[in-house]
Amino acid sequence: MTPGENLCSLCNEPAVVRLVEPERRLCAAHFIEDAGARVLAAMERERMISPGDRVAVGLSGGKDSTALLLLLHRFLPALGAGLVAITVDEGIAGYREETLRAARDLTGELGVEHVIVTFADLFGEDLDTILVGREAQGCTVCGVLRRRALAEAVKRVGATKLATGHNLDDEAQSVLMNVLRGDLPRLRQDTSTGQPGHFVPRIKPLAVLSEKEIVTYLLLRGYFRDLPECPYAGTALRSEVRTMLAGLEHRHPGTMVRLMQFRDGVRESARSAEPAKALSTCRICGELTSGEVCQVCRLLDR
Amino acid sequence: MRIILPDKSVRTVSRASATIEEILIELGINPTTVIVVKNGTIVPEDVTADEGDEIRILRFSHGG
Ligand SMILES: [Zn+2]
Ligand SMILES: [Zn+2]
Repeated sequence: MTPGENLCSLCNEPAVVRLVEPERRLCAAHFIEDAGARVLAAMERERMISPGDRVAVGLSGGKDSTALLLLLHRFLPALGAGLVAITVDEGIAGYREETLRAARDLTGELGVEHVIVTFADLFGEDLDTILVGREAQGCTVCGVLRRRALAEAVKRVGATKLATGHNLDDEAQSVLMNVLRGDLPRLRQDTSTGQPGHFVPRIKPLAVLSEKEIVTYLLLRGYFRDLPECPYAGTALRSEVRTMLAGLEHRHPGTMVRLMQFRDGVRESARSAEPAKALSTCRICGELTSGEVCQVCRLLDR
Repeated sequence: MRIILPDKSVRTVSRASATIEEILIELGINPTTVIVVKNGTIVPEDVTADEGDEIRILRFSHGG
């Protein structure tokens, strides 16, 4: 492929990406259009937004949520919905300060309402303190507490939907992890419908874009920031699955999309087959749980 | 050609023209995990690189 042949399929400018299904090359401007159009199409196809919605965006300040806020800021007005950014400050020294600054800069620039909730405020202690002596479980503990913190922030701002920045890689990895763990209930669990009184519907508009596409999008729009990585390592299984899937995606392009189609098929066939199972509430905090005491209360030893 | 690796170290490779994908694989880098900037512009990995080109490889970290 010589430079003379690497041209945008739409305008003959030099191409920055080559995409499949359909096979096309796109210049910077047309890639930015194409990526946005795919996100908008996914939101419309899956009816993620209703007119009058107040959408809370979980804004960590990292790359995915930055792209998510940029895109929702562009599309929500036309869909008749409002926007508020919520950031959870877990209290992770040496990491959160800079991402928090990135989040503040972005909402300031876009003029988006921004609410910050902290673990210290919600749970009495910051994550670093909660994790003393069990640092290896960092991501698992943080994941459980952050989900609760986001749910709490959603209530405080009166949002009707929660949008998160999960991308195609994240979602495909989760599908494969659930398969490898034999966790069918988790594979089938669909959080996009919500649970009245407890959870608002959760939407993932970026699940149609790969991590590589999101970073490309941010670089081209001048919003990519090299931010520190979280000091708490992810789960061992996820990092193995990430490497494995990246290899498969390279040798068999479209693997991640096919995994998502498989998951949707499983959910579709499960929906008609089985009635929703009964839910109980935690006897300590009153939130939904499958047992008597929820994961949050167990982690915090309440 | 000059290759700037994700850790910002620089390697000078003298070789005939090759696709960037071939170069990445020789370096043990999966093309789906990086973005390639050739002479200051993002390019698809099937573009060729020649003597005198500068190739910067950006690895995007996870999270966020
Ligand atoms: Zn173009
Ligand atoms: Zn509880």
